[in-house]
Amino acid sequence: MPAHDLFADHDPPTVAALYLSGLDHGHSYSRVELTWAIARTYATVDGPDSLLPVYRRCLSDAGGVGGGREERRAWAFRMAAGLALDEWNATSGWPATQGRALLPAVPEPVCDPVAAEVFRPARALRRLRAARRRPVRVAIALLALYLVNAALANAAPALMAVSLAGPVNIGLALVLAQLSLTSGAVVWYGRYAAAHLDPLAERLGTSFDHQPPERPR
Amino acid sequence: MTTLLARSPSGSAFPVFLVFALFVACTLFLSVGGTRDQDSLGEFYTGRRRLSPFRNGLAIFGSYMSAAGLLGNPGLIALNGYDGFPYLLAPAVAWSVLLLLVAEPYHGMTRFTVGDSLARRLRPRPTHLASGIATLVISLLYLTAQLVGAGTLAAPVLGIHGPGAQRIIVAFLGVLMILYVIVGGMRAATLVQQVKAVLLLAGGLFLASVALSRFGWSPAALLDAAARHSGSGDDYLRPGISFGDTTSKLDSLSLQLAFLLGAAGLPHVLMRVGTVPTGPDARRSVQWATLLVTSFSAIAALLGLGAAALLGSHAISADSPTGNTAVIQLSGLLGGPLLLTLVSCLVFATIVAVVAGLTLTAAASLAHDIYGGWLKHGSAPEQAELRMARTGAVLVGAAAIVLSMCAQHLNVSFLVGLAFAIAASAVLPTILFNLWWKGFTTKGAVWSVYGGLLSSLLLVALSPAVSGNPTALLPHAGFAVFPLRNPGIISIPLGFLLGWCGSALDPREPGGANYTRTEISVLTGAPASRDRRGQRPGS
Repeated sequence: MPAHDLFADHDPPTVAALYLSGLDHGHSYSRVELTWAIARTYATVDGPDSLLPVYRRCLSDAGGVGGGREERRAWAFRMAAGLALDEWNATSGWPATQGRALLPAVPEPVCDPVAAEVFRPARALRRLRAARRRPVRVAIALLALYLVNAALANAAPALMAVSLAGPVNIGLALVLAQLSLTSGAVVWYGRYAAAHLDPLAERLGTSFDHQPPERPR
Repeated sequence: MTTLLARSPSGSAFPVFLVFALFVACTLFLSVGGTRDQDSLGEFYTGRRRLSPFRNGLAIFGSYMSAAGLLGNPGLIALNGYDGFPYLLAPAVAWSVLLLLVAEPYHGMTRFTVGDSLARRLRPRPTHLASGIATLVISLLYLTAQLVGAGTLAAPVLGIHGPGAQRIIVAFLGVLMILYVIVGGMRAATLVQQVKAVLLLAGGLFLASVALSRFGWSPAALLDAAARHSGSGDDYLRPGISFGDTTSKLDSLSLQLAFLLGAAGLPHVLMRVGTVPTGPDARRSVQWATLLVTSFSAIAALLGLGAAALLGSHAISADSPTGNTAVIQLSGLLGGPLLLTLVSCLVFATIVAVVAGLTLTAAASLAHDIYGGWLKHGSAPEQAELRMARTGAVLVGAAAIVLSMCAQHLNVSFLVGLAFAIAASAVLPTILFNLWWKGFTTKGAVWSVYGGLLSSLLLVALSPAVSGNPTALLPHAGFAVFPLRNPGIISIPLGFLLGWCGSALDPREPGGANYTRTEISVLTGAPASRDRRGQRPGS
């Protein structure tokens, strides 16, 4: 079904909306699922007018992977043709607002170009979230160590006074441990972020410059 | 003071002033010469975000490490031994928390001030006003503390006595900081902070090495000697020699908590995070700053132990009961008048660098948050805001000078502790919630900021620091209901709790203010949006 040419400018809004939706382009969807996904994409980008620029940027974004993009576009065309909704205008008369509860669960629309590029933004975000959890744990551990030290100094000064080597007692050893662990955590985090956070973030974040403006509240 | 004056020659006032004036002239000249386009807000507030990470790390360290870090902490250790260490460790831990949880995401969310980072996600007007007021109060308190500290050093350093001399020093440093900020903005502040950071590290390292060399480079010998000369023997290196009853234990815990969390919420430090181009740069600069703070903590510990070992606690407490002049005494002992002069200059440079950063931050909160964000709904023209910022610097500086002249007899560490407690209870909760909690709302932010701020101030007003005993601010009044001098142990949990309650009870933003954009920004470090005023369009 080669109904589309090389230039995305002529693609109908429905195709663009499906392209930017959160649906997986490896599957087919029911009519209700598709129309609901389209409506939600429109709702996120403030209607067809701001939809097309985003869509165009998505497709023309240089440096991205090309294969998945054409595949997804073809899929969007197939689905839109199946719906026969090419001339449909979502800004008027769509009943979604009344029948929301009856509609099937459809993934959130993906309107930022990078996310559309990755196609499964939720997964990339999940990985970043998981990767971000470790520094949080380290920070909590450092704070806890400090509080334990403070509590011990107040509650069990005799224990802290137990001598380890020469003038160094447990209390001083804990002070030294805290100081070196803190510096260690600083150095560790630098490496960890460069190895685990930056690459993921770069994949998600490079094209933040052309995000659509956030909707007014 | 007699011991010190006997050691320092009577004419030492002139070299100190001369060397310090040279420092001032050089930095002012450089900062003015280096700036071409002074008329944009970005230039004034953040020096256009083009600093390299290492240099910004140096400047962050310079803007954070105050006279309390150079003089107060070593003095505390010299007199109290082990009990001084927690105060040294708390900022180092706070800095690692700042690095791990705040630095990068905050860089993506902010433009200039803390209010900007909140307004990206929450409703701009109330959050700008709340965080502007909190920033102003914290900065003014901290400024006053620094200037009061400078005044108390007038006598031992310059050899001039009396309240008149102290006022002269305070006014001199105050006018100087206003000058720096008005003329050079963030650029000048950055330069002063960098130069001071290098001087501080070099001076501290040199003094500590000389002290250590007296003991054959053996830390164990230093510890032994410190314990021997401290007057409390082996107890010196154990917790407990400064402990009193339960109240004083709680008080010290409260102060530790304030330092532990407050150092990560100081607005003038957070503002510096925004002076580098990207999120990873922000991370690297805070990394440098944390490493520098940690190493300087070790240096300060050595200085304190060295002072105890070489001077003995009698000589230290005879000169200053809080130990604030221990390092200056130590430098006089180790290097004679020349080193004494240099270290005194270092102290003044330290104070000027910190107060310049503080004045700039306070001016920014006044002009950007309160005037631009709240009064003018974020639509003030750039030139008007810039004029306002410069006026604000003069106003804040003048207010701080007057306040510190009135508060000349107030305990400096009490003021610093209070500023940290407010930062920990009014600023840190909102920043952490805003970056990391999906359910955070405008009401939560406003409750947390005002709640943390007012509860801290109220508890202090009812504390023994303000009334009820001869050393209090109002010695003849007696309404000290709250037993602790530092409110942190109550107000910090309260700040977090109010942030949570306000968000849960907010009918306007049920389930939390829009978090999608913020979360992406937090996770990727990319700027959340590029609106001119740090506000969302249409809100």
